[in-house]
Amino acid sequence: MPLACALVDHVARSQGIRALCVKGPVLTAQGLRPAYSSGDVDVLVDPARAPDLVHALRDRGWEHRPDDAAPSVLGEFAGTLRHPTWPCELDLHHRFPGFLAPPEVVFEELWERRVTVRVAGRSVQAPDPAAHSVIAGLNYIRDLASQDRVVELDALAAAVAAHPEIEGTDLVTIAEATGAETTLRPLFQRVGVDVPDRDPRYADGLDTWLVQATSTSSTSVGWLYALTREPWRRRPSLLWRAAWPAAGSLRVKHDRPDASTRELLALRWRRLSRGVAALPGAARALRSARRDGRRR
Amino acid sequence: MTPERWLPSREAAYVQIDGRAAVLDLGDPSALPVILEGTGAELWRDLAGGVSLDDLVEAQVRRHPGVERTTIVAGVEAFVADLARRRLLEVAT
Repeated sequence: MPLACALVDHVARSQGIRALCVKGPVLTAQGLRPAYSSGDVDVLVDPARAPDLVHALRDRGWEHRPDDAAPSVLGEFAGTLRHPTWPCELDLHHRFPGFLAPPEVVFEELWERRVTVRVAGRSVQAPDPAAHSVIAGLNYIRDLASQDRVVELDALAAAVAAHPEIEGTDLVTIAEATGAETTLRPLFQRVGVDVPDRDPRYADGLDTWLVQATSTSSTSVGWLYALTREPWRRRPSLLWRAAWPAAGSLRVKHDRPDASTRELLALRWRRLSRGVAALPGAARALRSARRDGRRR
Repeated sequence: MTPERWLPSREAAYVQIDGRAAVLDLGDPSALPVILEGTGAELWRDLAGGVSLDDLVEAQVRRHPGVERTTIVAGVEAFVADLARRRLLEVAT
């Protein structure tokens, strides 16, 4: 994975595209996460140049991984590329969930704070430790219904508190510049930093974030959330897509490229029965998240 | 004559894990990582650490006492020449 990280950094730089390697080996090199093995490499790219980076990587044999077409609460925020001979995938983020300011504003703030970090014998560009801890924090917080993410967030908070290059005031400054004052609250609380006031400009984004961060059944909640945000006239077609997805989407979702018509039918029925069973819980999660959002 | 000191080239990226090394020429769009194991991984680790060719040979002579010195010299030089041809090593300046 560090090799792939160095590769993307090299390709971006050679094309004059601003990109920051995030999470993974860089986070480990900065002392913010123990070494671990992951199946993907994450890069935050200048939103205006993201298509150019995809194009440059396609020239090296990387291809878009088709998605399963299921709506997620947070919308699309990254494109995933895969290569037939590399064992990892590349996630190219044009925005990062939890930063509620416009993507270009967020990128400029993080880019201003860039440093170089030694990865795979190279100096790759990455956010400084304070900015990187904000990114990692948001990554864990958006899935805080998972106990694993809670453990990871606790470990991050401990690393941040002990890090010689991170001040609590840095975290607040970054959060205020990127619209992450409220979304980063769980990290602020763990580090013992006073939570800044929420920015009223980002109320709608905050509502979406809270739905994601407090839900446990994200696929059902994702569909339900998408449904409530669609105009009435478009809801039947969305509902049909949720209940009876296209063959291509199912094959991608279940990683069964050669599934027969009969197997697809079985997958559809299983999915439908699971979806119907999960609906009451998803509706409760959605109501609860929205109540929570109004209280903050 | 083989130059005295070699280093990973400016366009090489490399990782060393569990006694193996994976080295990639970033400058070649079609290049795939070269995997080095055993002695190859040891030589790469020492070269990346700035060890001179003479010291590299001495280290190998110590690690492999049953092998003729001339054989080790030839092996090290062939290894370096191969990686230099693949643009993964360059002469230290």
